Amino acid sequence: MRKKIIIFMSLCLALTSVLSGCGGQNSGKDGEKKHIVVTFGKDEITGEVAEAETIFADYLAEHPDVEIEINSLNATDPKMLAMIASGNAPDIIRLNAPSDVATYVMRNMIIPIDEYVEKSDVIKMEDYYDVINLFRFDGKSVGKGDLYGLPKDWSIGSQMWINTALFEENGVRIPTDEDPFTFEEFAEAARKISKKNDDGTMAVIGADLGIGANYNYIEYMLSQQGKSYWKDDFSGTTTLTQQETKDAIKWFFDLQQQGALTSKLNEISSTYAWFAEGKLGMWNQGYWASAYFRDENTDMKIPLENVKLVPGPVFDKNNRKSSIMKATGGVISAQTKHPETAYSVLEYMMTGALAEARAKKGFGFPIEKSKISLLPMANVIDEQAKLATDNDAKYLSYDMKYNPYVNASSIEASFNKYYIPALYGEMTLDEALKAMEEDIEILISEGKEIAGVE
Amino acid sequence: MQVLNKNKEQKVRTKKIQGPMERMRQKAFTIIMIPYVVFLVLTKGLPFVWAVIMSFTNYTGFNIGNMKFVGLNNYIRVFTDADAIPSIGRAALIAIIVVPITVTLCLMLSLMLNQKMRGIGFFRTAWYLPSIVPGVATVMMWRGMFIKNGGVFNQILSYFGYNAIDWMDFGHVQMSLIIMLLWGAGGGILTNISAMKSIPTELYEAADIEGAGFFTQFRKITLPLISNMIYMNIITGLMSMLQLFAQPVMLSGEGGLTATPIRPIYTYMVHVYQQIFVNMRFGYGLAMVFLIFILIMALTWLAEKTSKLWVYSEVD
Repeated sequence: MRKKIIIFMSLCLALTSVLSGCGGQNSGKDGEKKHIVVTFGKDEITGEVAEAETIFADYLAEHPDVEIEINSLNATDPKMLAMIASGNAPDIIRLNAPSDVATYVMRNMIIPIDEYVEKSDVIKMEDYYDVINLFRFDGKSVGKGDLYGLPKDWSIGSQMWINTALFEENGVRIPTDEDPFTFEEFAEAARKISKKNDDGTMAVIGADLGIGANYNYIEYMLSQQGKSYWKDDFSGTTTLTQQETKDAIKWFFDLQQQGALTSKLNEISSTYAWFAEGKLGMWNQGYWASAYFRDENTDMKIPLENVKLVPGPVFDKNNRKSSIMKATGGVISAQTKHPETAYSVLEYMMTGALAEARAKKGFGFPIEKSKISLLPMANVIDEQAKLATDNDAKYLSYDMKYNPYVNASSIEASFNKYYIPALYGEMTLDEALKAMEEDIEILISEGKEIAGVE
Repeated sequence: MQVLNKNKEQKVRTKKIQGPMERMRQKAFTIIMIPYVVFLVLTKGLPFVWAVIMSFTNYTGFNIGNMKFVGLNNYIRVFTDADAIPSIGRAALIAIIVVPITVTLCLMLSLMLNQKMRGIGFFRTAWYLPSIVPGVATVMMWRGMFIKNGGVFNQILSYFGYNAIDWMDFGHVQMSLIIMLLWGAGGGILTNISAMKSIPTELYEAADIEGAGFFTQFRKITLPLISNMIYMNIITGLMSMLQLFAQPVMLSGEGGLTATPIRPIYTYMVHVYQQIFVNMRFGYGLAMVFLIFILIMALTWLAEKTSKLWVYSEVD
């Protein structure tokens, strides 16, 4: 009997050790390998879904002491934040520049990569588009100072896809590369295109700029006028003190109440589905969305000849500005145990064969000018979208401001917390603006405390 | 003194009674339990203690180096936060509506499904199915039905010539959420039926002989003998409703788990999640978690204390 108990206990212990082994990342022989965790999606590194062993096969062959794990998370994903808070941050973090770069730097969560870039044989700065500067931050301004990451690819976020058939049906002028809409023309076009069914639901919606009043877009509107959503010292917003800011928010508010823009009031299942079905006139997305139309499994129900990429609306046609708005890229966590290896993996991801594979898929413009010829030219949209982006890139401006003390998702949450009740008529817009300003100022003061700024 | 001596004698006698086999069994039990206890302390105990400590600090997830002790400030803040207390109220209102309806529906369904008839297995499966469908899929399905433009409910209304309803506006969204939650009413069917099956058939036979009808049998036999199961359903229902989080967040649409649902379905746990993962107020969020923990413990204690009055038990 005693023997049986001892055998039973030994089995229990063996089972426990086997089970605990399943959870460990560096066990046994692999324990000596440098384990690099990358948070990009498995489908966005080459444009096709694949496992890390396949994507990084060449790199791993050259670096047998490295193992790579893909953990698909966004910079603002709660799981990612929990990992950072518990000291287990991934080595390479996927984030959106410039909005997230500044807050990540202020919280000492990422490290500059200048010293690695300088030593690199692969990165040729003269071959890079200026977009790379969106990953620079000097403690106050985005675009200046140390470099914190490498972009994956880029598109002009202020551009929009339009369904020309809806424009023609409603007698609306089609904006061109040379003659973009003003914001007034945009609003008028959205109103004309929008149509309601007899039961009160929307048959066609004029435009989509996000379902709330996207504060990033408001900053874009204000930067066109040389203004900003943020006060100069980033202690708060200009919502209550600057007429242009109020006007920009009111512009959104009125169009959403009129049903000319997508909103909570007229929620739809998916903006892409509505565009593909010919029920959305203007869809605010850049070149990257051409992948939806190129895909052989595309569910587009409108002829591709009717789809065009055009510049976003401007305030002053003589002082035209376009904006990237968001550039996705990779940064290196300050918690990484292997910064040099993490950089080499990041560089491998963002250059060479993987960048070529992405360029050929057309999920955005490649960051290296030398790879631009690899973009697909398979259908009627491809060439038009490339030309439109090339043309609008001449007007790219990098003067949108980003508050370094508060993260983008907090601002959006505070904004929508009051803006949406106002849309539903639960409070006036003025009351909403006052309440959101109070919330954002508290968030900023807390952010300053975290950053150790007086 | 005499009593002490008696106890000692008893212990010695007990020890004497225990044979070597019994002692070995006890040792084996202790040794086998050690990994579990260590695992429990490491994975549950330490994080719990850590979280309690953090709830008294200004921890933001990124300031471990210059974190400050803030005393009871985080706990006091819950009562001054304009969103915290109303959000408990909303969760409580949803619980007050959903729990009684769910428990009653579940009881009625269990009674029907406890009958012996052909094809009853199919109906049992059908009613239990919502409980095993992943929550995300359930919410996405309901969202697709509620959505104003192109949603199934509005298409049905339109077919009959009625105007569309915005099922997710301020006036309707709470009702939509409740409808969605009631869809899972069949979750307690299995436990209810198993409790009903464990009731001795002799009781019903005797009741039949005495001339008791269906409702009398239900009231006098079935209900008391499954009351412990109903009690459990009420307690677990209350706990899950007070901690309601994923359903309102996902019903609200864009933004994943950090989306902000509109006011009527902005529940307490949604506010907690917003504080921790959107506003980076880890310390404050944890204080909120411990307050709801205390509230749930208090409600459970109250239910336990009053259970003697309405839950049948064979043990005093």
